[in-house]
Amino acid sequence: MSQTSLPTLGIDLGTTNCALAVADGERPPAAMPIPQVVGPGELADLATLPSFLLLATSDEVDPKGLALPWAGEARSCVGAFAAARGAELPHRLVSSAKSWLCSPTIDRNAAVLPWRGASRDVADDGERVSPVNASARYLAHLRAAWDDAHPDTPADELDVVLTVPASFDAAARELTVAAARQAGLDRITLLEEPLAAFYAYLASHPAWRQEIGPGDVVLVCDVGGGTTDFSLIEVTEEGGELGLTRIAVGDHILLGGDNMDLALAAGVARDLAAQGKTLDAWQHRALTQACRRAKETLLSPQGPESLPITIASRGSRLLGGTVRAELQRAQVLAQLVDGFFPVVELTARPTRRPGAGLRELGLPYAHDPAITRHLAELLSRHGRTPTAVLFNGGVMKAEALRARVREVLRAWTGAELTELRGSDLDLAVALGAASYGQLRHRARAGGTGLRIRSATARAYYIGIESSMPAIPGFPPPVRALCVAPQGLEEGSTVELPDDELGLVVGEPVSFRFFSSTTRKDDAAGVLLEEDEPDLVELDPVEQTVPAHEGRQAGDLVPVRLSAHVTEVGTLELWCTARDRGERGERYRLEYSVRERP
Amino acid sequence: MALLQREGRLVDFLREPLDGFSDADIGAAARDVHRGCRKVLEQHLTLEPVMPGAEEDKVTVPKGFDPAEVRLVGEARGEAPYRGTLRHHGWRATSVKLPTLTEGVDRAVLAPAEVELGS
Repeated sequence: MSQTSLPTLGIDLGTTNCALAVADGERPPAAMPIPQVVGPGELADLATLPSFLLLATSDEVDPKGLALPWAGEARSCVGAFAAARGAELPHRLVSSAKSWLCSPTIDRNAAVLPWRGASRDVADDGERVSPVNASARYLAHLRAAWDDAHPDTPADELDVVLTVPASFDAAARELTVAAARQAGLDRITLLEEPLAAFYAYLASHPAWRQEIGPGDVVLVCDVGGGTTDFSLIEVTEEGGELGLTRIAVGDHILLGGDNMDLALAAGVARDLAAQGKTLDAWQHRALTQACRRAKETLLSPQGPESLPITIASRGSRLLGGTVRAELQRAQVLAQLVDGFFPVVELTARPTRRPGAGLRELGLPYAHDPAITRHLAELLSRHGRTPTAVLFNGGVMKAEALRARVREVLRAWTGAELTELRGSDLDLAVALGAASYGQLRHRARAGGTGLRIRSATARAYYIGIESSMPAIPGFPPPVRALCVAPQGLEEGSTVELPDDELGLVVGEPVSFRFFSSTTRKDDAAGVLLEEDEPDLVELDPVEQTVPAHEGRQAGDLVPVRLSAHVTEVGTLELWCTARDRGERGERYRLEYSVRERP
Repeated sequence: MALLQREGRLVDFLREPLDGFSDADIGAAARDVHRGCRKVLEQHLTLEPVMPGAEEDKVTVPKGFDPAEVRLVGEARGEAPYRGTLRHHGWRATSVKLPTLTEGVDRAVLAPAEVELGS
C-alpha cells in the first residue's frame, strides 16, 4: 500500500475525555467508538474514553472483570468503569492527568498520581504513576483498540495527529510526545486543540468560504468538563492560499462544566439541608450527576420550566428513602449563565485570590469562576477584535451559554459575530485532528487551497547572567535572550546571531527559561530585562556537557545557540561549541520537568 | 437484570412491597427507576413500532402478513387483507447491542453487596 492510501488517526487526549477519529482517503473524518470496560466483566463501545485511570487492588476490583479483548486480566483500567468505580475509590483514581502534565508544582516524571494532597499520611500502599505514564495509558488503550479492529493497518504504522492545548508550553508538549512514544505511537504530529476544532468546522462545512475569509479573526471558545481555553485565529491569504494563524492564546484555565455541576449540586444540597435532609458522600455524587443531566435539559432552547431531581436511597429499600428536589430553569440560568458567564465590561479582570501563606500543593484551579472575565482579559491583552466565534467543548452545547457569550462579545465589539457552527462538540477536536492529517497528505500531493502549517504560539527566552562586577547581596542580573520568536514554523531552525555565550562544561548547568504569548515582534537575539511583565517563567532548561577532549570541568566553552521546531511540533534548543569548527560538538538543552517551588 | 439494577435499581424497586407508601413516595422512586432503565434500553436496544401509524387509527393488515408480527383480535372473516383498528403498534428491536461479557465473572451476582469501610 502506498503511504497516501493509509488512513490518518486523530486523537484528542482530553482532560476528562479522549476521542479517536480516522480520516481515510478522501472521505470526511469519522469518529471511532472505543471499546472499554463499562462494568465488571462488561465491555461496550462508547463514543469517548473517559480520561480516568483506576489503579485498584484485587480486593477492590476483581482483575478478571477488567479483561479487555486484547489483553487478559488486568489490575488497572481506563475509561467509563474506571471513572464510575473510581468515584468510590478516590485514593486509587488518577484524573486530570493532562492538567498535571503542565503543572510545575510537581515532577511530571515522578509517580505521584493518584494525588494524595494533604492526606499523604494515609497508608501509602497502592501503585502510583506519573502524569506522563497516565497519559500514555490512555493513548495505549486507544492504540490497542484501533489495532484490535484494524489488524492490517496498526496504529504504529500510521500518521497520528495528537492534540494539545494551545496553552501548553514547550516542556508540556515534549512530555505529551514522550507519553505517545511510551504508548508505542511513533509517527506523531502535535496540533493545537483550537486549530483542530477549526479544521473540524472546515471539514464539516464544504461551503465555509461563504462564512469566513481573509481578515476574519475567529475566537475559539472551548469549555470542557474541567478546563477552559480561548484562542484567536486569524484567517490570512498568501499567494492565493488561505492560512490560519493563531494570534493569541489564553491561559489553561482549570474551570469547566464540572464546576457548574458542583455549583448546582451545592445549591440543591443547601435547600435540602434547610428541610433537614442531609446527604452522604455517595448521595452527593448521585446529586451532582443528576444536576449534570438536569443542566443539559434545562439549558436546551425548549427546556421545561422546572425539573425534579431524585436521589435514590443507598440501601435496597428505595421507597420512602428517595430524596426529591426541584430545579427551576430560572434558577439554573441565574446560577450558570450569570454565575459563570456574567455580563462584564471588556476592562474586567479575573480576581486572583492573594496567595494564602500556606497552600496545599495541587492543581492551580481557577479562583474566579467568571469565564467572561477570563475572556475579557485575553482580548484586552492582545488588542484584537474577533469577527467570528467557534464554540467547542461539551458545555457549549447549551444554547443559553452560547447566546450569553455572543451577547457579551457584541457589547465589546459593537458588532454581531458570525457563529461558526461546528460539528459534534465532544468529538470535534479528534475529527479536526484527523482532518488535519488528511489535508497535510493532500497538500503534499498537490494544492488544497489551504496552507497547512503550524507554528509556535509563544516566543521563548533563556536567562543569561550578565557579566558584571559582583555586588555583595545582589545576584548578578539575569537578562532574557530571545531564542525562538513567535510563529516559528515546523521544520525550521533559527540560529542566534553571534553573541559571546559561554557554557560551563563538566557540571550540570541550568538556564532559566521564559516565554511570552504577547511579544510578537521579538526576533531571535533580542535581549530583555528579566522583569519584563510579558514574560512568564517556565521550567528551566539544563544540560551537563561532558568535559572531554582536553577540557577541564568548570571551563567556559563558547557556544552558539539555535532553536529548532521539529516536524512533530516540539521545540528543541541546541548549543554548538564554537571552538571546534563547523562539525563541533552539539548538545541539546533538556527541559527540566522536576518540581519547581 | 444486572444492567437494569445498576442503572435503574429495578430489582430493588420490584422486590419492595408498595403497601403503606403514598403515591408521591412511589412516584419519586419510580422517576429514578424509569430514568435509569430507560437509559439501558436506549443504550442497548433500538426499538421501533412494528406497525406504523397512530394507535386507534384504521389500518389494513395486508395479505401474507406474519402472524408473529400482527396479532389479530376478534374474528377474522375470509382472507387477508383485513381492516381493523390499531390498538397497540407493537415493538420491534431492530438492533440489540448488549455489552460483551468477559468469561469467569459470576453473572449470578446482579448487584454486589456494598460495604463502606471505616464508618
